Amino acid sequence: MSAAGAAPMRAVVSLAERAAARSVDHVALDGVAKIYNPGTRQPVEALAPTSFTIKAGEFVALLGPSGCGKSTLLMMVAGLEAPSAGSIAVGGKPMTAPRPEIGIMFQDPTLLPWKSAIDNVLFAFQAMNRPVALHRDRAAALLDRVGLAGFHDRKPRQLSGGMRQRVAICRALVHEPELLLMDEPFSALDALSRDEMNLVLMNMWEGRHRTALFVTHSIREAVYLSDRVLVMSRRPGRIVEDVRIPFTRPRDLAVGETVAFNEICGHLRGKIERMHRP
Amino acid sequence: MTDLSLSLRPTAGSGVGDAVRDIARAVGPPLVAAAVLLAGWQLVCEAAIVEPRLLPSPVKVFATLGRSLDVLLVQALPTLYGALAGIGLAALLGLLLGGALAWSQTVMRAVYPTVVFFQLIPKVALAPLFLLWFGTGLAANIVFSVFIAFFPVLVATITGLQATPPAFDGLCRSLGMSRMRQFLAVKLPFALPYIFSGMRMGVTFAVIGVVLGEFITGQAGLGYIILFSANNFETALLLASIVVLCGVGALLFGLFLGLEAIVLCLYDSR
Repeated sequence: MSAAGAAPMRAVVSLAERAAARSVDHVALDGVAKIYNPGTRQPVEALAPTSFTIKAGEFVALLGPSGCGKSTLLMMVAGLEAPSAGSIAVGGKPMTAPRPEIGIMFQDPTLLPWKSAIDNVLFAFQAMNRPVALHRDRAAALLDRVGLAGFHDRKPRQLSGGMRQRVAICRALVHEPELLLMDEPFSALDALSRDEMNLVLMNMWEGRHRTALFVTHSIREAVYLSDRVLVMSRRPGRIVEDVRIPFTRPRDLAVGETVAFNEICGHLRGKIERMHRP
Repeated sequence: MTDLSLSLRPTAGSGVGDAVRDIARAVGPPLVAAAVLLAGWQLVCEAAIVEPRLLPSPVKVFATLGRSLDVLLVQALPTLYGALAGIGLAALLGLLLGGALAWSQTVMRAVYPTVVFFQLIPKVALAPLFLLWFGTGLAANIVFSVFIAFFPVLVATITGLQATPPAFDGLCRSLGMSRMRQFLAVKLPFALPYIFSGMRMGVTFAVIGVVLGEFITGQAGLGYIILFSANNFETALLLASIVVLCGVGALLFGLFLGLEAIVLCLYDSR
C-alpha cells in the first residue's frame, strides 16, 4: 500500500468511463496497481493505478507493448494474482480468488498431453469436481463448431498449433462462463492461422455475447474483435486511450479492408508510437 | 510426431510377412553381434592364448551352467527377493520423499542439501556399519539395496514433479482445483515418465546393492557363490553365476518395463 502512495495517481478517468459506470458494469477496476517485490531494493511497478469498467456483454481489448503489465492486469481480474492496491469487482462482488464463472485462455494452449481433445475440453468439469459424462455432448458440439469434427479423439501432439488453441477455446467456454479472459491466445500462431482463429473466436462469441477481456499486442486483432480498445503505455502500464469500435456485428474479415477500420488502426498506431518516442 | 507417422502408414498391404521382417530387423543385428563376440571368445580359448583356468571358454561356462543350474537357481532366489524388495522399498520411499520435497518449498530447502550430501557418500563405505546394525541376513542385503537404489528414484521424482509447465498452475487454479487434486491429476502424470526412468536406473542399482551385501555378509545368494568360486578358482562357475545374475537383472528390468507400459497406457487412454 505504501508503494501506491509513493506513485503519483495516473489513472485516467474519462467521461466515457463515468458514463459506462452508470450502466451495468460486469467488471470494475478501481485504482488497481501491481508492484512486484515491494519493500525490497528493486521493486518493479508493473501497473500504475488503473480504473476502468466493462459492461455486461462487452468485448474489450487491452492493447499494449510487451511487458506493459496488461497480462498482469488480466491475471488480477482472473483472481490469480492479488493487486498491490485498489480493488476489482466482477459481477458486483470483489475478486479475491478464482471463480468458476470465469473462463480463461492462456498464450499457451495448456492442454494435457495424455488426454484427447474432447477429454481436455472436459477437464474443465473434472477440475471443478463436476460430473464429466453429463457434458460430453456439449463438449463434442463445441469441438464441431470450431471445426474440429473428426479430431475429438486426437492427442494434442497430433494437432497443429491453431487446432490446439481451438481446443483451448472450447475448454474455456464449455462450462458457460459469464466472463471470458484471454491472454494473447493467438500470439504464437502464424498470421494466417491467427486470422482464422479470430474468425473462430468471433463465431463462438456471436452465439452468446459474454463479457470478454482480450489482451493483445496486435492492433488489427484488437480492432477487429472488440467493441472497445484500451491502449496501455509502457511499464508501468496505465491506460492512455479508450477507443470505441463502431463496426456492426457479425463482422467478417472484409471489415479489415475498409477505410474506417484502417483509420482507427492508424490512430491507435500513432498513439502507441508517440508514447514510445523518448 | 512418431504417432502421427505411424497412424498415417498404410496398413492395407502389411501382413504377417511384414511383421516377421520387422522382428528380424530388430532382433537380428544384436544376435549376430553377440554370436560374433562369443565365437571370438571361444577361438581365443581354443588357441590357448590365455590360461584356461583364468578364462574358461564359453562352451565350458555354459556346460557348468547346465550342470549347476539347480544350485545356481536356488541361490538366485535370495538375490532376486533382495533386489525386488530393495527396488520396491526404494521406489516407495523415493516417491514419498520426492513428493514431500516437491510439495513444500520449505521442506525442499531444509532437506535437499542433506539428501545431496548422503548421495555423495560412497555407499560401500557404509557397508561395515550396516553389517553391525542389521546382522548378516537378508535384511542387511535389502538395506544395502534400498540405500543404493533410492537416490535415482528420489532425484527423478523431484525433477519430474517440477516438469509441469508453469502455465498449468494458472489453469488449475482458475478452475478452482485444490493443490492436492492438481498434484494428483496434473503434476503426477507429467512426472510419470521421469519417475519410471528413475526406477529403471534404480533396478540396476538394487541388484548391485544386493550383490554387494552378499559379498560382505557371505551367507547365501549369487554374490556369495561368485565370491566362493573365486576363492576356489572355479572361474567357470563364477561366470555361470554372472550369467544367472544377468538373468535376475533382466527379469526385474522387464518387470518394471511392464509396469511402466501399463501405467503409461492407463494414463494415455483416459
